[in-house]
Amino acid sequence: MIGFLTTFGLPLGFIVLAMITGTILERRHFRDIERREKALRHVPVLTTRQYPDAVRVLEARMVSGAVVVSIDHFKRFLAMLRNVFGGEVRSYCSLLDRGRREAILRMKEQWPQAELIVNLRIETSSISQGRRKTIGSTEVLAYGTAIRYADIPRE
Amino acid sequence: MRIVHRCPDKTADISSARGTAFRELRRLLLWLLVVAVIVYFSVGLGTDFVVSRISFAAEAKLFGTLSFAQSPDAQKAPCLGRVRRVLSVLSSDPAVPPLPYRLVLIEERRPNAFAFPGGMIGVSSGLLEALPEEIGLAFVLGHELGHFQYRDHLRGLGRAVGAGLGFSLLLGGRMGGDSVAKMLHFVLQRGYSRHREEAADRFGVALVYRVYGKTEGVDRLFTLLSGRDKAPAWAYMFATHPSPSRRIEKLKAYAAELAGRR
Repeated sequence: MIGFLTTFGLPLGFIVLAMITGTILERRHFRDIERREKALRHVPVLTTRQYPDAVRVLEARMVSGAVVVSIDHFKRFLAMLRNVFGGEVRSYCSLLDRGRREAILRMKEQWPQAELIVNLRIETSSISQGRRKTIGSTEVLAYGTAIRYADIPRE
Repeated sequence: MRIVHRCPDKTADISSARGTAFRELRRLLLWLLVVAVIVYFSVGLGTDFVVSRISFAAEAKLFGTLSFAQSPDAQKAPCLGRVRRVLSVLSSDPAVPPLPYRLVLIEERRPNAFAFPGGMIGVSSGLLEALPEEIGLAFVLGHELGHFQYRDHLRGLGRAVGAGLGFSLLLGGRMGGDSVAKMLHFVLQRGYSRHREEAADRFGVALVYRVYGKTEGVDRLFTLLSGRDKAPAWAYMFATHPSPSRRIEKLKAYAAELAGRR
């Protein structure tokens, strides 16, 4: 009985624990991201290298934001099941989505007075990649050039 | 260049909203179960097919050399002599498969007996202590001989190897994969195993009845075990063997059937 519990109960218990905590944390994180995105909506971000020709730039700064998000046992369990059948690994999609949006937000928060961020680049890397039996984490880095205009009227 | 301020409207959030993570989990687990059942049954059918092609002579040849490293004292232990006598009486019955039976003593307090491929029967020292009467011992040996007759030891070996291979190919060595594979195999295997144990019990009772002409005392081991048994009834859902009390019931029913047939 004890053997049964340690062999099957513990891994199952960790997955259930991660299912509860991971879901709560992810929900909270998404709510937080949405709130902050609304608050920083006035800073548009472009991937183009140019800024509008008509304006004169008063100041330009490089801004960056990075975040490392960990996967949990539950997400990994779902991904493992997906590995058997194929298809979209949705549990990782939401993880990477959180990472990207959080990194962009942190980048914007570095200089909230900016009027525009151009040349946005996003980079993703996997921490502890390739090592077996480890919980992976994903790192997302967002960086760009934030500018303030010289000659348009401020609200 | 006109810039429109907006927030991202499409998100990959699967945790909130309509619980899509749980829907995904349910769907994937259902598929996994379907595939696991298919793997399990094909391994079972494949094993049965192969085992049906292995004659007793071939089995003796294949596994006859199987042995355990044992001290000479354990081999010569006087208590084994008693077992050997009972075994030679039983194995002279025509229903018992012709295998080169060998006995091996296993030092363990818990009463237990095992059938290994090639005719090797393992008895624990606890078993010999618990069963001083010949008839109780004869039934336990008859039960193991039943496993040889039905090739359960070969089937068990084939299934364990086949299912292990099948599930590890299916789930790979990914983290958690091996424990899920073990779990699937464990749950699926148990019901089959209990069914085989009951068949071996029937063989044992019938054999004892033919050789000794009576069945009183065959359930000695189980009455002893059920007296010690503190596990709740539901725990036997996960056991390889039926509960002792259930086995006593079945033995009694079958013994009555045998007596009625005379």
